[in-house]
Amino acid sequence: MTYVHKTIAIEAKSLTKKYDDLTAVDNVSFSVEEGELFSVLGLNGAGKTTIIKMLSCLIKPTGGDAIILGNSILKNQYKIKQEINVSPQETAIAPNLSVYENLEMIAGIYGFGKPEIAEKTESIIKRLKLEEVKNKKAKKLSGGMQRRLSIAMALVTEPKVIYLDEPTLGLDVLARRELWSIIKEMKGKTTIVLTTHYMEESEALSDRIDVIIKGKDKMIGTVDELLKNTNTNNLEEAFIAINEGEQ
Amino acid sequence: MNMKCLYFASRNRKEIIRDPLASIFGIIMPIVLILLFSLIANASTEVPAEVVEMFNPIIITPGLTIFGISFITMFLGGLIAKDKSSSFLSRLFVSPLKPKDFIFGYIIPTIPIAFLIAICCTVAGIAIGMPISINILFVFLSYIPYIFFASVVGVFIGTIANESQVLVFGNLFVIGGAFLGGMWMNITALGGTFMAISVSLPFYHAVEASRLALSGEFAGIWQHLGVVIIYALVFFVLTVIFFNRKMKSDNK
Repeated sequence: MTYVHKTIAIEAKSLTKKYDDLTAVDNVSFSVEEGELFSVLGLNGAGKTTIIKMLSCLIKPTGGDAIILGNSILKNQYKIKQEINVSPQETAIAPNLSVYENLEMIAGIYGFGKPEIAEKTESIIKRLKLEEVKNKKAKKLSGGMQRRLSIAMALVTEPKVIYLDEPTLGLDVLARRELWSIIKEMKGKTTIVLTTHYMEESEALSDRIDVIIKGKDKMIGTVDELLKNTNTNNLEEAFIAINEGEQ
Repeated sequence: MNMKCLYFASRNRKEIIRDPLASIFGIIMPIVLILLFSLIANASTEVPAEVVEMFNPIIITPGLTIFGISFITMFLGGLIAKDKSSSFLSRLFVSPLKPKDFIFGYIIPTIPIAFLIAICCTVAGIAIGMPISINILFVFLSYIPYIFFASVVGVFIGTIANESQVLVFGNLFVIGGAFLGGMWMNITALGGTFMAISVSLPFYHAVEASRLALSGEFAGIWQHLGVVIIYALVFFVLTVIFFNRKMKSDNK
């Protein structure tokens, strides 16, 4: 058997974020391989979004560093920003612009030329099945379609690394399953860091999972590894066991 | 100016012009006021001469154009505040846009919008008797510093305030500016404290510069425009400082 060496796309090294007396993220370290889907699983307020914000250069860590595609989040923010994109937890779209215009605008601000913008926009509309609503104003879309547009806006620039912060939060079961299939389709092509508090989502999508409790990473591994290490039968039980171990 | 900034500017232009309130307040309201004041002045032969003079098209057209342009502050402040509250701005902060791209991306689209307001008001002014002359071109040029000032204040307010606060600051800017600047009538003769306050602010000077340009009295224009330009530059510097601080505070 040949060992396939994969390049590390993200390496978080003792990432820490403190707000006065509150430590939101405490010494978190992990690495994500190129093309891997890495989940950060935790309850609300565990520090998942703060990790994403640090990795996307939106906030600075108070300690530690992360290397994204060979660049430090402390030193080479603009280099990193050119290669990444994010789908924030809240649906972040321009309401008075059509679906097409939203995507075109994002591709434009990432510096692509006109022909590339048109090509990328059309391609992502097709890929995320947005053809029927492409000329509709974003504010008139359903919640599920707005979220799909928000993810399309993160994908249109064809980032090497994408952060999906609670991508299915507030969606109904059908919209959630549709988004899952879109995310599954991205696996292997793009490095994905996904935050979620839904166990089944993490289990269905992730190559590996980082369980975060109160800002600290408690256990990292594949679903099978987490079950084995906690001697449990499903991810929910494993999560509870890890949580109880913490208390 | 790079293309990234222009794509962002294009988005902001679309957001503003597709907001029906922008057309109602920025264009329709000043036109209605121009026509209304003209009706008052021409209501009957018994209207006192000073009222007729107060609502002379040469006086009210440039003033109400400046009034219409003032709404840009409100549109822009509101747009930025909405972008902040909806996480849209956070999404853009992750993009390779730099602080200068954001500031100019918000300011640039206001230029064509402001000139559209000016064109509509000028047509209304001509309809009520404002003479057509080459001076109209100079009036348009005299609007430029105020357009810049109103835009920069819009970005400033949007940066420091939330959506409901923007409404308060925006209204203060538009209504306060209209009264203190004599946008609806000539206030030069008022004197006293009111006039002292008026001359210390840019609104009166923007209106006076445009009225002088329309009358062809170019000698006194620069001292008025100078005040507007100074205010615009001061607010531009403040905007750069506060916008950078906003990006950095999100970066903490």
